[in-house]
Amino acid sequence: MTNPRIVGAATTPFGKFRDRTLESLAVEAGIAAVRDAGLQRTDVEALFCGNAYAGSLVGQRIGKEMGLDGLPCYNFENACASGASALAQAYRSVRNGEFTTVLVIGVEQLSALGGGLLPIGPGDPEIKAGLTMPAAYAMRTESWLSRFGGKPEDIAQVSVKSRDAASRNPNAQYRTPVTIDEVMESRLVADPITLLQMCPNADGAAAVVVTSDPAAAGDARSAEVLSSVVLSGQFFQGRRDMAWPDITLRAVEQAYASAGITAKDVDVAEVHDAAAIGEVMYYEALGLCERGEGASFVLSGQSALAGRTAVNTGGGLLSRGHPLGATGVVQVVELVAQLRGETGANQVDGAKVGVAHCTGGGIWGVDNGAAAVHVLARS
Amino acid sequence: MTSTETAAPVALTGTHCVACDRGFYPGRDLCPTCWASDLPAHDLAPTGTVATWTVVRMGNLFEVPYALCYADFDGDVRVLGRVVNWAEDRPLAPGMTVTTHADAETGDHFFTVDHASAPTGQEA
Ligand SMILES: [Zn+2]
Repeated sequence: MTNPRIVGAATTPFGKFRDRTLESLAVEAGIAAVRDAGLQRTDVEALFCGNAYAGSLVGQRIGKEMGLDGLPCYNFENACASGASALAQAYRSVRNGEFTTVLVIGVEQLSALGGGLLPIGPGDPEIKAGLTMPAAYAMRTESWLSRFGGKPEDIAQVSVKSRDAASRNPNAQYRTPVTIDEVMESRLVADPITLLQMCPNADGAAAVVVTSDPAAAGDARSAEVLSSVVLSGQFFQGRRDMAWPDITLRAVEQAYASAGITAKDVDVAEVHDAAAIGEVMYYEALGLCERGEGASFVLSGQSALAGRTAVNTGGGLLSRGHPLGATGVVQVVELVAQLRGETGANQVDGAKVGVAHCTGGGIWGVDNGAAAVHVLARS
Repeated sequence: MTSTETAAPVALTGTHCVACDRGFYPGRDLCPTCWASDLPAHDLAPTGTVATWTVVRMGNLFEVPYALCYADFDGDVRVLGRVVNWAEDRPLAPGMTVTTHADAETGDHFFTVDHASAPTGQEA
């Protein structure tokens, strides 16, 4: 089977857009992606939509606005991996020959829910006991530091790098560079994590066009999808290492094997930096550095543009913003732009292979609800 | 916090799958491995060991700030709970001993920590 290709990719700016509708954000990204592919509305054979919090029939609500009504339409909810899950199934449908060309849209409008921490799993025993999402990342941070040594500010360096990248991404939610002192002096959310080490809630949409049209293979702007993996978290009641993300390790291993690559081949990566510690853990889990070296990897600039493997070149979840359902798709939009050489000041020279990784939520007893990894290569 | 600090220990009741030798808390009726149902009730030991911890300073579940930790109990059962006798000048550390309690009205569990139980080499 021939690997599907991504021929169109687009995103809206991310931010807080209370005066817009979820549908209008999705339509903006969707039409831009189809136009970016040089295609028309009537070339789209099916719609795959990822969203976490907007309720039922989100894809249909979007489709009828942009003339994709009547087509096969599938909706995906996997928390923060919703968009990546939509892409994964689009990839499979195209690869299996069911469709030639499909549109994937990830969208979220969190400002519609009001402010503050997201409502997660009210029936979950750990939520009932007092767990918040920042608290979960705080304990991962404590676990990592207890095991490998170092200081909280070593991990917080991720936020400085993130803002630096976002300062050159006009679509990012937070584009003002910050110093390590500003990160550490921001509000303490859950010891030792401060506010600038957690990703902001955001609104936004991103879209990609996936196709098996043979003409795409000759399109220098297309990106080949080498592999696509989505896994769910395993239930552990007992001891587990909170700084060693089991579900991501399994997904990465499968995705690399299926793509026929190793970590050394990765030129640019998008990882799920919902918190600064996430990026540190995922450097290690993706094999970009050895275990326990994640903090020194960022401190020494190895994950910056000029480093060994550039990570989160658009600012990541921390600064680009994290509209849950859109995140898995915008990561791929960023990688496609990198592989095309179209990211301007954030370009990684000669990027050939990119990896997108995102995780979805957390429920009692599992590391994450979902994890998705996609490997892309330049034409 | 003095009333809870002196509260009597209450063992947490979960369940246990005899065939798989797996303990669960909160208890569950179905063992996910062997699908045995109606798993028997099983009390955890009244004390556990802090694996990792944090102080929640932003949230609406309880009045902030409050301390939260994962504690490991015999039988490889890890439980998340609030540590009600934490104070800003009395931080926790991995390896400390916690005792389990339950709210008289709701039955919800919480922990107290033995501040003198810090392992050597760790800050108390
Ligand atoms: Zn069993």
